Amino acid sequence: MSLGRHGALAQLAATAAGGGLYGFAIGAGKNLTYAWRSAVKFPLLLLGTAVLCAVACFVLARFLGAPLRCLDVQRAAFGLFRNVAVMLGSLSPVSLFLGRTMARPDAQSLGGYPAFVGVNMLFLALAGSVALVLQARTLLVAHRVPWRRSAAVVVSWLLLSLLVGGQLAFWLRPFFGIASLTGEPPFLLGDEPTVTGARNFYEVVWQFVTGADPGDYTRGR
Amino acid sequence: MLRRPARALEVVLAERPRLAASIAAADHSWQLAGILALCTAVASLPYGFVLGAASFWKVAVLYGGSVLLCLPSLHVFGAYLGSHLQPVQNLALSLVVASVAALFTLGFAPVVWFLEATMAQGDWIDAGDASVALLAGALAAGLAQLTRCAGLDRLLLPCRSSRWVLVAWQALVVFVALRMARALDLLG
Repeated sequence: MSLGRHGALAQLAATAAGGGLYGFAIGAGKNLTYAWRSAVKFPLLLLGTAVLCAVACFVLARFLGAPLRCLDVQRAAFGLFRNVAVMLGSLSPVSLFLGRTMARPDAQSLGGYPAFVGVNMLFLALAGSVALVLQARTLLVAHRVPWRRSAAVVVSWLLLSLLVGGQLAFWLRPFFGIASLTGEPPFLLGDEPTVTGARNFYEVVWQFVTGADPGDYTRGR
Repeated sequence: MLRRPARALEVVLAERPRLAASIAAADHSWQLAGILALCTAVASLPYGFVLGAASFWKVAVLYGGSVLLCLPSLHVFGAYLGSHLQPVQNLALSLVVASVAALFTLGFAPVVWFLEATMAQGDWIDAGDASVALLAGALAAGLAQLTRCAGLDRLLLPCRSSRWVLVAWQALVVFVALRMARALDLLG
């Protein structure tokens, strides 16, 4: 079960390649600048989330009773992101096609942009769910973790990754290129407010959950 | 465990039957309490430093202080209602909450650092709110671990009334921790 340096490098390369391909595809919906930037940022999003959650994943796994070593947990968590990257990479031709053929956003309307983002969110959810099931099965078989416990561990990792990855994605945005509707496109927007005034991922979720009217959020910034 | 700190994490988080048996046996209770206290102090340092160099001690005080303030009530009420645990055993039992919570903050430290670095002072949700949620989650994990440990050994929960004492005591710990967090200015 030991994963040597070459194995780790291969995992890293697969994550970078799969994530980079997918990033390129979603950015190409806008233009080549966004394509290359998203090709860099998307693997950063996946790897950054994995690194930031690494210690917490181990603590959660041990707390939930999975008899895994720290190295096992890192391997499983990074494996989850590698699987997501590879699956998304396989969907990149579809994303590229959809991005290049959607109705272009302009000053009057968003065109096919919302649908394009929606489809890609669906791809992310699909890749994440399949990777999750695969990882749960790997844990179950390789480490003889009972199914229920294995599922609890992986679900806790998923929740943590969503909470951290969501904020990292918010900070690294734009991936799809909507920000370039006006002016020079930035590499990343950081904590710049969205059109609804949200300044972080959690505020976006909060606005979505409470169904708040974006008009309420004009703050003069 | 002092020679191999990683073992502390294993025992506190994962080896609940061993931990419960060690507390119930009372042979090395002082050493166990010392290890759990050390674990609390050390594991909470990274999170404390993320909150600010001058605040490095606050997370340890939040968890350690809260359970120590509530320790006498656990012992006295427990004794009245059928528990035969010595004070040092109750001390070790209480420190399970603090040490598990501290270990969770060790895992959350990179996350909260990232949130501090990327979340502006939001109008509705900011890094401070996220930090409060993570600290609360860590405390909840500590309380859950106490419940799971106590349920593993009959000496720790000898009768039904002992269970109620434990439930009420956990509610007290939550209340005290909330006040402690306010006093330490951890609620933003």
